[in-house]
Amino acid sequence: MSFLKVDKSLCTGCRICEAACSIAKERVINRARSRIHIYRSDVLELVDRVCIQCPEPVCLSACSQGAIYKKGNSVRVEETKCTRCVECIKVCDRLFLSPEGDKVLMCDQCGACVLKCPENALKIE
Amino acid sequence: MSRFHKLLRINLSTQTYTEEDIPSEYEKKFIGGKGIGTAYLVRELEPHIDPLGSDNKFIIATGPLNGTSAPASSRYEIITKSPLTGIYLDCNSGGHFAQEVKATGFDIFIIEGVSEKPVIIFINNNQVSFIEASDVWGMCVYDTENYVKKILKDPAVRVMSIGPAGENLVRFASVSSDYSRQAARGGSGAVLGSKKVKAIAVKGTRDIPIANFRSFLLSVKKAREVIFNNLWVPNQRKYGTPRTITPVNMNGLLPVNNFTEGAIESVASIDEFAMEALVKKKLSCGECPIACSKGYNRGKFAMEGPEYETIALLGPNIGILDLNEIAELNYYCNQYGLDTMSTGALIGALIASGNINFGEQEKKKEKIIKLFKQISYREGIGDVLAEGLRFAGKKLDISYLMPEIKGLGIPAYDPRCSDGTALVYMTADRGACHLRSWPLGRELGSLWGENDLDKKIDFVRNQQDEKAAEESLIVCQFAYGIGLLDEILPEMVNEATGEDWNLAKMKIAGERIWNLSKLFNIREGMSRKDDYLPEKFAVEGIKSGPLKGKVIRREKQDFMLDKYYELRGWTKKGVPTPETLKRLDIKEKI
Repeated sequence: MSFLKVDKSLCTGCRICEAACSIAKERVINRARSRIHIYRSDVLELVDRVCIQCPEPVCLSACSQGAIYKKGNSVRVEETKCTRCVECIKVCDRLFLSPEGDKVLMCDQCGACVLKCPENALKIE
Repeated sequence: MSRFHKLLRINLSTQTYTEEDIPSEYEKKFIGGKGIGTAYLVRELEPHIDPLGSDNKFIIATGPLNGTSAPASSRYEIITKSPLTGIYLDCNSGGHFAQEVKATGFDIFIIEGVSEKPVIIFINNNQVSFIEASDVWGMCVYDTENYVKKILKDPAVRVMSIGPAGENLVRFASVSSDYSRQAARGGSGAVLGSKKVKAIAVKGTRDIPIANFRSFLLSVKKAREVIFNNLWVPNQRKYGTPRTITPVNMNGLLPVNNFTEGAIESVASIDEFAMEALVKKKLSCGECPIACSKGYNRGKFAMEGPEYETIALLGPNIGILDLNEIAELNYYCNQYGLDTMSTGALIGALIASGNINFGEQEKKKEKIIKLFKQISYREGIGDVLAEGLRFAGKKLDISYLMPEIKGLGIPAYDPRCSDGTALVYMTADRGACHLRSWPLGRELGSLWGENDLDKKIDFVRNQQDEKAAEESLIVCQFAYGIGLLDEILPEMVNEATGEDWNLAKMKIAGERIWNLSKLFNIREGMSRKDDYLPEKFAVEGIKSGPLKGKVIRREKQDFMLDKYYELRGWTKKGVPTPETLKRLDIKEKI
């Protein structure tokens, strides 16, 4: 099971990863369509939010539609089955709803952001 | 594209808002950011209005590169009439606010009128709400930002706010975002305070439209190479602006004891290595690969910074050589919402005057912190100081000691250090400002000698135009260099917008912007007499250091102004001629 790991000792909060994610996954520049989010909770405190592929995913248990499923060791969202009920988002703040509310956004470890991070703060491991 | 071609106009008096189209003519003539903001300011403000009255407008502007993935493109501009100088003001800041503004689907916000009660404006894409803010009025900046995030239940919302100084109309109050980043110069915080706006929260979730998506991404890749090939960048990345202390001191242009001496014996206690030892976290503005922001944290004293200008002006300039003490002063300026630069310049003059007894060295810092509070709440002498450098100078009869031009405090490079730097301060649109052109490196590097005055003047004029364009895009000069140095800038704008820019066209737009702000200032009563250094710098030599004895005499200032006005196509009085306005297609009348 691999997941995207943010090394907060290296991360500077530039959010280049957010734009890189929206470009890779949605072919637009819109940080609100990113599957990773970095924000500040205080003057110097960064918070990262991205799916960490829990061994026992609460999002999967919360999904009554079978749209969140395990493929091997990986947790994934099947868009066609998703009814946007957002039960998964209610139980976990590491997946997100698109601005229009038509899509649940979950990191699938594609690595596009890893390549763009100028601080080498991102790793899939 | 990469523009929404729309502005959001918010009227605080009526608590209403409207959307308007931005004329494409404005985009072609003024690029965006500083340029378009200036065009609206000149068009919409009646002459001689009170900057702290209901007629002033507070414009937040982005340019065509903001919000995109262009490197180092997260800066926003504020354009308004300054309560400190009574003339044109633009100030900008990095952080993450600019990207969020753009993602609302508007290129510009124009905020006008006055709210009856304290208010937080929440701009959520194209919806605006006005949230009563009486409970938060009086709160310091960091707490305000946390409060806004809490009531909106969104930790990622971007917040611009003011502290008590802005509320109490201190004429050099700053505007803050991302906790400790400021658009600080000229008193934009007091303009928000006068409108009873405690904070502006912004949430944007729109796609940024890009004309040629694939080619734009290739240009972005090239831009990153340009940045990392810039020889100036690695040290900026490693040390940030504090690295400026050492060369400035070595060359003898550090402001020491109110711009009296030019150097101190050792900068070891305040230089980039001293800073490095205290840095707890490296931070970055949005979409920036340099990350020059250095996070300081000692107990409650947390901030991005102190940056060079603050270290110098709240350090050697006021006789303090301890970086922890400087950081503490920086912290209180951040929290009250005071411009560290004008505050440092003002306190420096006050100490030099002997008007206030600052006591023993170990008590000095506490005394200064108390003074910050008095200024922010307008208590006692603070009420006089809150009116700004020029007013306080007259009132306390210390005008001769006050380092200001047009009312704006002089930045942390002694203007006597170089002819070009003196001219930059003398002719800058918002008063003494170091960001409009940078001839200093070339002068100190002996590229030009004493006989090359013409070259220096031409360089300043040229770079002022380029810089006005750069601040209309808006990108950070720490990444791309000062002005328009590489074709990558127009290339990115063209791929993003589908427009047809090149460096020459951008420079002409910059010249147009520079002339337009000049017209605004002339309309407000500025003339040649306001384009000189304070008398002290013409008659009193720097007292120590490598530049000991250096002055910029009035005759030299006159020579430079004559030549500069001529090059600009202005009259001897510093007024753009009808031919110049025609050449630049400026239709605004004085």
